[in-house]
Amino acid sequence: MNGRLKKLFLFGLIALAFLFPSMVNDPYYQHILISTFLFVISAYGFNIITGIAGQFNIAHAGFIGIGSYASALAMTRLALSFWVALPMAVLVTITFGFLIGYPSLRLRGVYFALTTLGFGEILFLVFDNWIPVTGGPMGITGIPAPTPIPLPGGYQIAFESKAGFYYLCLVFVLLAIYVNRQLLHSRLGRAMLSVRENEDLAQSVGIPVARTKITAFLLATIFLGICGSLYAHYFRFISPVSFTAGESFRQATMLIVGGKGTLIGPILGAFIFTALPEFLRSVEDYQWIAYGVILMLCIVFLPNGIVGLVNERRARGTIGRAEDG
Amino acid sequence: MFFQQLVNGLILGGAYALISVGMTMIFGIMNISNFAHGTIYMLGGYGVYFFSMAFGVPFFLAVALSILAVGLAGIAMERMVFKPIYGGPVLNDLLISLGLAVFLENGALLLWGSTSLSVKTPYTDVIIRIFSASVTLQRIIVLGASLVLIGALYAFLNSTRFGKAIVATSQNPRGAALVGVDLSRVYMATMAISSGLAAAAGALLAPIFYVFPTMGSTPLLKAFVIVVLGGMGNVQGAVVGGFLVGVAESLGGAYISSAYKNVFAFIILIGVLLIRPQGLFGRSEK
Repeated sequence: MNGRLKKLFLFGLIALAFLFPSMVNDPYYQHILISTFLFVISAYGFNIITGIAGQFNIAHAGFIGIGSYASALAMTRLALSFWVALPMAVLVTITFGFLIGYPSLRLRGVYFALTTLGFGEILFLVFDNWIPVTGGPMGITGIPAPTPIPLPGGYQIAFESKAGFYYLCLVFVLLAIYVNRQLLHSRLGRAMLSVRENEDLAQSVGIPVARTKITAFLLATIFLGICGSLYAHYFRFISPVSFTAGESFRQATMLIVGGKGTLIGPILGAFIFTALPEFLRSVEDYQWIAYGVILMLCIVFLPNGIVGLVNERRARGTIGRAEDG
Repeated sequence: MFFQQLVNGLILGGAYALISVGMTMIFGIMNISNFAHGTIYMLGGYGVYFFSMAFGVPFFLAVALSILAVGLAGIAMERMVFKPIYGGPVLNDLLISLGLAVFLENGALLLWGSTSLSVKTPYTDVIIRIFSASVTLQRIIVLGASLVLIGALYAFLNSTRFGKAIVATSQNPRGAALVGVDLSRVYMATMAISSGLAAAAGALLAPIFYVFPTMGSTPLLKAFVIVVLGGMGNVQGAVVGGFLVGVAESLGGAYISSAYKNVFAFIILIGVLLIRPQGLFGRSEK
């Protein structure tokens, strides 16, 4: 595909995404797409720290939980508007990101993964046991939908309906894709990729390794905060079981299958994995075993996921053509 | 009360040391952080359950058989799962071992269900008094067996030819290969020893706690903290760290709060990362 065709295709896709609710009125499909969008936002956050910078955040779901609880509490307890609660949730998530990232990302190797493993467990303990605030295992119910935006002339943009929420999510999906795209084409993004491949080598060419990793993590937590907030106000109910290490693992599998560190991989993985559980429902008992096996096979045979496979094929094709001509 | 908690802590520490020694060896020699280590501990628990409860083998023999079976399973895991990723980025070994952990844990859930199984031994009912503390014989056995196994490992690493080859590999794999050490065999042996020790801990503790598919998740976390505390790859460090964390947890649980036991371990981890990331016994990288 040449550049112009690609651009046209992209615009077509975005236009389709915008027209979707008016074309498909069935709330079931709108619901599926909104859930997928939430995964997409989360996957792009995961992609920045784990896919691009190569630091495995095992508390991924836990950080989404921080955003969810912060946003839900801001609206239910403090009676704040959603438009205050959302940035607040993001701020709280970034703050925790800094507290966890600063001590562990300054060091090389696995310390970040170990710290987030522990932190994820603690977050679950707090969500589950701090009953006066988090509601414990019962969670928080009755979370309101995002506050409507008033327009001149008595109109307003409301988010009670599925279609309204769909557009809200779409905006953040596009933002997530845009940020990932800009990052992959920037000096900072390339620095992150080189840190992922070899920290010593990256350091030797003058990349500030620790700062690059911490920046990646803070950037990622922004999207985890957004995702958490949207999640809380879409489902109107949150409880600790949504934010476990198991959920982080599932989403990591999603990202690896799609293609970590690529632009298309996260969205591809998110779509595959929202469709997959529907198919896997008949064999639900084996679902987690399947995730484990898929992840192991992918790491060995498809380290760059489906996107990597396609790119490889294409690269090989180009070389073949060049030799022919 | 203090003495009682101290004794409890030392017993817990023995089991922690067993689990952590295996994990730190895998790190030191294969440069892999094994997230499946907790599930291997879990397999040891099921091993002793099946040998002693289903086949009626005496407890000590059941523990030995469990260690052997899980050690062999460890070799299979090393060949099939870890071998393809040697020398790759850190991210790969984290992900692949996590995949293995999820596979094993859910495999156990599917095969044996989520019910907690109890292992009965004649030693759980015998109470022994040591000064002001009273402990069951089973707990004394845990501590005694841990010390014996760690001692055996020391003797193996320091006085046998193959043990020395393992130590040499951990110091410099290329140099070891150059003087004729078969790295492939060293890796298999390391994984077998590591798995066997984790299984030993799971098997020895099975009569005190229960056996269930997710029993390995907390020990995994503890083992990571201990391995970091002792210096990653440092066997002595893991032993000392195991006892330190065991005692700290026992005293902290008694005097501060038992609901947040896991939080103490995490605070230790963050503290070590901030103050002394190379661990108590590790050498600084620079």
